[in-house]
Amino acid sequence: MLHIQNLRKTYPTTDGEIVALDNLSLVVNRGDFVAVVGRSGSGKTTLLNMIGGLDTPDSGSVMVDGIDMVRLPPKRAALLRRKTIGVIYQFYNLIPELTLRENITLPTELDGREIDEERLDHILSVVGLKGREGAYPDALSGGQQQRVAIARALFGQPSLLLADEPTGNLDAENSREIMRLLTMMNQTYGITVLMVTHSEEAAASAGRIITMADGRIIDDRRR
Amino acid sequence: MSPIRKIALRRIKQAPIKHLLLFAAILVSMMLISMLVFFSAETILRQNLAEKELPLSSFLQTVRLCITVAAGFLVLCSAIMIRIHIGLNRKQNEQLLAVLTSVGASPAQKKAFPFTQLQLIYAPAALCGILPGSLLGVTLGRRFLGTLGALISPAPSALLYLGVLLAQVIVGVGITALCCLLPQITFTPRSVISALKRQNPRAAVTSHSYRQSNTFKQKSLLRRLAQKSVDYSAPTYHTISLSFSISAFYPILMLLMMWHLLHVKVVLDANPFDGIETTGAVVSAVSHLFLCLGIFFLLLTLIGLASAWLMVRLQYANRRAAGKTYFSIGMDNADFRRVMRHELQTLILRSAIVLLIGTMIANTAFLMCVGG
Ligand SMILES: Nc1ncnc2c1ncn2[C@@H]1O[C@H](COP(=O)(O)OP(=O)(O)OP(=O)(O)O)[C@@H](O)[C@H]1O
Ligand SMILES: [Mg+2]
Repeated sequence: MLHIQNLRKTYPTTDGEIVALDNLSLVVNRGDFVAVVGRSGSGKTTLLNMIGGLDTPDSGSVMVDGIDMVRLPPKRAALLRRKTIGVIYQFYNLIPELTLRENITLPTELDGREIDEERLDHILSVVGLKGREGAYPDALSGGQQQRVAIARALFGQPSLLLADEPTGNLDAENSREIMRLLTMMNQTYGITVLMVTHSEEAAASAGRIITMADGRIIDDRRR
Repeated sequence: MSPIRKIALRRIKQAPIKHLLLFAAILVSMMLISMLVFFSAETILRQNLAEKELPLSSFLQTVRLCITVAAGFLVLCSAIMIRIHIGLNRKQNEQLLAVLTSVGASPAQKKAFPFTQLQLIYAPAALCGILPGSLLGVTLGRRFLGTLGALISPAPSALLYLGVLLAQVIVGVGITALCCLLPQITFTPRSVISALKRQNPRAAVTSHSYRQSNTFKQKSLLRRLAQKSVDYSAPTYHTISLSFSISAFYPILMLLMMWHLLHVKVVLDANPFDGIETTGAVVSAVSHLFLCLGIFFLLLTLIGLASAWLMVRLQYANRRAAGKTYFSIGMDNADFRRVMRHELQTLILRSAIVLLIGTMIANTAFLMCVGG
């Protein structure tokens, strides 16, 4: 599903170069649930951004389903993102000017496809937001907003889900709820999940835990 | 309706005053510019050729030159104004584009957003301003020539006016389009990430290198805090000071133009062959023009000041929110007010410098017109 080879990314700063990713290689199989852990600044977010095509590496390749994301022209990369990759970030997942429903259907509408109302209804009840379709993100709590982002990812039927600290600013109860949803996405829908987290509890629900330090993978454990 | 269009429409609904000011600014600027263009066109098209040898024609020439210069400055000012308004939404736009990118919007779909804004606000405002402005310009030009006794009776063909109008529409809409599309097209993946991260890496880097310098360390702590805040929200402070200077620049431009135009009368007075009631005629010829110009410049100044005030209030609210951090490390309210005062001083100083430079450039330009 995901083949990363010799990925390297450096950022120039006033005190010299920061190596965010240091020749990192990683293979993730279809249907895996991978948690990425590591100290702050170890390059986890950078890795996720590379896979999602939001940032370009200095060298190396990121193959998603056999397609190299790095060298794909922007238009094709956008199409790939829309169809196969779902993303959930810690902040700013939603567009404040769109209602909950419109946020969820955004990728589908950008794709010009018809909206499957039944599926939307089903997903809304899965994430527990039925009846709030018309609300704007401002009127939702942090946990609810995160659930909308999950619903959006789910509605797009991706084969790969990238989540950057999805429970980062949530309380224990909301975190458990989000983790339940992510596990469900992985097990029921067979979506490959790559999740960055600082929480041991969240990492515990993953089948594989990767530990990063200084832009490298220093530990890779399966349970 | 496409989601992109929905977003654009709801933004207008959420901040009606901001968008109304923008609409008014573009409308009045375009009206004024097209009034000046058509005034010049009318005086060229309907000027009595027999008068060509007289000093009157050189007077007309000077008036036209001055008007061209003023129109040039106005185009520049309105371009900056539009950029300022777009700058106001920079953060919002970056976040929007970041989310759109992450959910897989194609490059064309991302560009659709600024185009929709162009369609909804910028272009209608420009078009609404151009037609009445051109009619006003023609009327004023005709009256001007009439007072000087240099109007030829047969009007040139309507086709000619249509041509000028078309050129005006193309230039007007072209400039607005350029101003509002340029910043969005230079959008890079780097800004997607910083938008998602809620950080401002560029400002952090500049303030960092600044902090290393020795002069900086010797300043008082409060002044340093103020300086850091100005560095950190550099785009906001640039925008506010630019907005203030432009608002103040409008009346200055108007006064400079009047002053230089009224000075030309000395040349007319000195010539015994001009055949017109010199001073009185000149004053009455330009009085209507000046009246209209005065109203327009006043409107532009008011609109500019209103939007600058809007920005100041926003920034003050931001700073108040950030003030909590100062209180939490043991500073009191008086300290915070002093920091704010330092920031305000920087703002005023910057506006004054920009205004001074602008005035000097404009004055030189007018001098060149009148002197040459
Ligand atoms: N835009 C940038 N400019 C300069 N350096 C950057 C930039 N983005 C990231 N870095 C640096 O790259 C390194 C890796 O950052 P990254 O955000 O991937 O860390 P992370 O593992 O996600 O940390 P956290 O757990 O705190 O989110 C850090 O040292 C960071 O300072
Ligand atoms: Mg991170």
